[in-house]
Amino acid sequence: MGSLFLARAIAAGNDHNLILGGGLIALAAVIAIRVAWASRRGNTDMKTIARKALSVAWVAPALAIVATVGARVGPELNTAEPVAASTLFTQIDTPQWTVEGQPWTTTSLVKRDTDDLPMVLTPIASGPWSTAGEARQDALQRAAKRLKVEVARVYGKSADWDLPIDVVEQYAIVGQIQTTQPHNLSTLAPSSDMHYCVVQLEISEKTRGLAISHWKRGVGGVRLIGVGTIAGLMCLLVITTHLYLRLDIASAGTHRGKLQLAAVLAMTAAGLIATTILSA
Amino acid sequence: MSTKKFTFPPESTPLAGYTIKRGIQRGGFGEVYYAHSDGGKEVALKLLHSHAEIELRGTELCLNLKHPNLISIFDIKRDDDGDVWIVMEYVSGATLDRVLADEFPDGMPTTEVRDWLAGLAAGVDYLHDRGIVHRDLKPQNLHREAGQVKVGDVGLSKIITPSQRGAQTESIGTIYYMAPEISRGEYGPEIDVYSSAAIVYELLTGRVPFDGETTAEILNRHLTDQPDLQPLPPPLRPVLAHGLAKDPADRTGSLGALLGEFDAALAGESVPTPPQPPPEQPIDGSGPANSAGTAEPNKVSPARLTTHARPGRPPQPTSYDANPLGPLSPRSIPLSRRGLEATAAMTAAILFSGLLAGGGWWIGMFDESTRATPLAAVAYGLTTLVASWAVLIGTKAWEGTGAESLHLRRLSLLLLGGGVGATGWWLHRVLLIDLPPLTENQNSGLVDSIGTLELVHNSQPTLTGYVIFFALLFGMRRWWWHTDSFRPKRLRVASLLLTLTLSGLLGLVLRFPLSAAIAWGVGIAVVVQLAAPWVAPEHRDARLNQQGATDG
Repeated sequence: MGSLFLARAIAAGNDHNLILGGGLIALAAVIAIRVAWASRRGNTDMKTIARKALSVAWVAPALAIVATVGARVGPELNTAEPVAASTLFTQIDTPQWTVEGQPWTTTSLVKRDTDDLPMVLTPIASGPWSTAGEARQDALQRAAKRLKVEVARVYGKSADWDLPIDVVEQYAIVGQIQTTQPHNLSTLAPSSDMHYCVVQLEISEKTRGLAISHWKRGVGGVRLIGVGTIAGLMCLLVITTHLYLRLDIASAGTHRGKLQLAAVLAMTAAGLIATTILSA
Repeated sequence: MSTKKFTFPPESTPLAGYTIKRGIQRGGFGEVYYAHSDGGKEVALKLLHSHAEIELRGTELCLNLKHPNLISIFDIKRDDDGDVWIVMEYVSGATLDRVLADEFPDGMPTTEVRDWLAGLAAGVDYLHDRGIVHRDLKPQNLHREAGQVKVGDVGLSKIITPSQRGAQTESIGTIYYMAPEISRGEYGPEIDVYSSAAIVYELLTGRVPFDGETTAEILNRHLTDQPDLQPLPPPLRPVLAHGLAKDPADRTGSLGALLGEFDAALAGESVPTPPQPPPEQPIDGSGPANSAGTAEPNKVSPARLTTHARPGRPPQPTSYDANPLGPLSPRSIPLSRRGLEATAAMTAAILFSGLLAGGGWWIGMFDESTRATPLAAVAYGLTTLVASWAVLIGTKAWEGTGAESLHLRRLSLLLLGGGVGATGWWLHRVLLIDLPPLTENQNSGLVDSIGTLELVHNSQPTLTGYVIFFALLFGMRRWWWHTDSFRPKRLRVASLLLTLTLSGLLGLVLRFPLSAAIAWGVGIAVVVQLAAPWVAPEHRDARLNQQGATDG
């Protein structure tokens, strides 16, 4: 697993710290092997050790299967691809009209929250909809997207995650108003009133933390599938190796070939299942 | 004849020129066979399994020694597989331990003891005169054939020069007869005097001077306890007190001198005794033990008598070379067995890491810090698992390799810890998990940065922080004591408490979140101890024999 991360880090060229971790492990392994070799007991020559090591040569293709799945998972786990927040801001519509008597619908207000930290109350307007309900939904979705921009601004990469609009409405919307505005569907048709909704979104430490915690759960959950798949395969490899050794010793090596085949088949099957899970 | 399984059956000829007739002994150092040369000469063939370098060194030293009280070594040969064989004089007589067990279970008459001691002294003094220390004197190595005592198994012998007296670092020998200074790596001729005095004590009383339930207990008694001299004939008490003195400088100067004192004591002459260590206060408060050389020399307090008095002969090691069977006991472990134990431990570590993380999540260990409790539990569990695997792989690779290269083990663990730290940091970064916040006591640490590399950023450990913390956690503990099959107990609470303390201190020094530091320190220690195979002390000899039988 370590070498896979190392390879990715080198390929991406953006996370040299992983090289440090992989290098430390590799160096430790070399020293550990040196210690074990220098003071080995009962296995006195290289030929004998090589011959015994060949009996578990099936681990090499099994490791290759794990590495292949790891390469498939790797891009999902990349933590260092910052996304410019400015590109996300343009996706959010700001209202082009004013609701009479409600100046907050076009102006962001800066206030202080209960902890005396700066808090921005910003208006988010929906598009034109034929019903008030649809307009409200749209406004809330846009508000949720605005909060997701905050996450992208703080953590860089937003990835694919979900921020439920009912949570946004419950914790981050401090005001909302419905209105109708004349709207020209086309130059040929007469204008008609369409429903709009404007919500006042609170952007503060509280709502930012709320969004970030959802982001962590969402993205972390997706990434957990990848990490869990690799970890699961590694665990399976360890268990398979143990079962192989136990059976091989119990049978005095009589069925070694069959056991090796069974072990590789088990790892191949697990690799296929893992790939299927990751593709789903 | 032993019923243990030998590598070569009767009538086999693994070594050109010799035909094996039967196996005699086997153990940690190898196997001994009774064999005939092609010309019909009776010889003993010793096949070296392990410690080959030590054994060969010692044997080569003694190759050209000739003394009627030493078992002669004829030659050293290698067979077609490269295995080393030592061709030795075959002695048909019983070994001293058999004589003692079969004929004198409650102790020998002094005249009989004197005969054995005289032969032993002549043979060993001959070695000492040539600058060689036997280092493994014990009843199993003493034979008598046609009335002639012969000292065998000179495999551990070592030339000792003044500059080399402390050069050895590995405790080799047999625990019941091991001189205290061996624990400090000192191997002067005085250790043979001590072993011989212990043998004489056993011959006279039927039991060894220092016995215990565990190897550590026996070693500790060699180091700290005074021998119980009450069971000895009164005239011989100062002789044995002199021979068993803790300080080599206070001990009888040679085996010849020990024999002289033995004879003088039986003749009713006074015998010099060593200065006594600071007396321990007896439980009954009756004052310090009496000084030696009086009518009742070396009187021991009643409490000590109770502690030491054991009926009958203590259980003797069954192995051919019964070294202390602890984590640093050198022993041969076949690769397949090593792999089996390592993978078994790693498999168990999966279970225990999962239980630990699940239990932590269940009791709310991850609640306050992250608001993502399942992910935090997974990150903690995976990091613990990776750390446990690293410890198990490293330490299982070294198991049975003795006390060699301990500094390299530490260095290797230090680096492994660094790698584990990097992996833990990566896992937490990928899963977007923050560690618990720093405590109020952690506003500053003794070490906040290394050069330009910060250990903490935004109240979270950086990659450098993780790497340094885990590297030191791995490097500061003797993790091989946690995982060795021959560790004292499966789970040592004192060890856990020490790890807890050290990890907590590391957290404070490095500004690593305290609860996470302790959780990882204790978690790794618990998982590796529970997961690593453990052999109960009473089964260790059998395990050695089993491993020897499957070796190769």
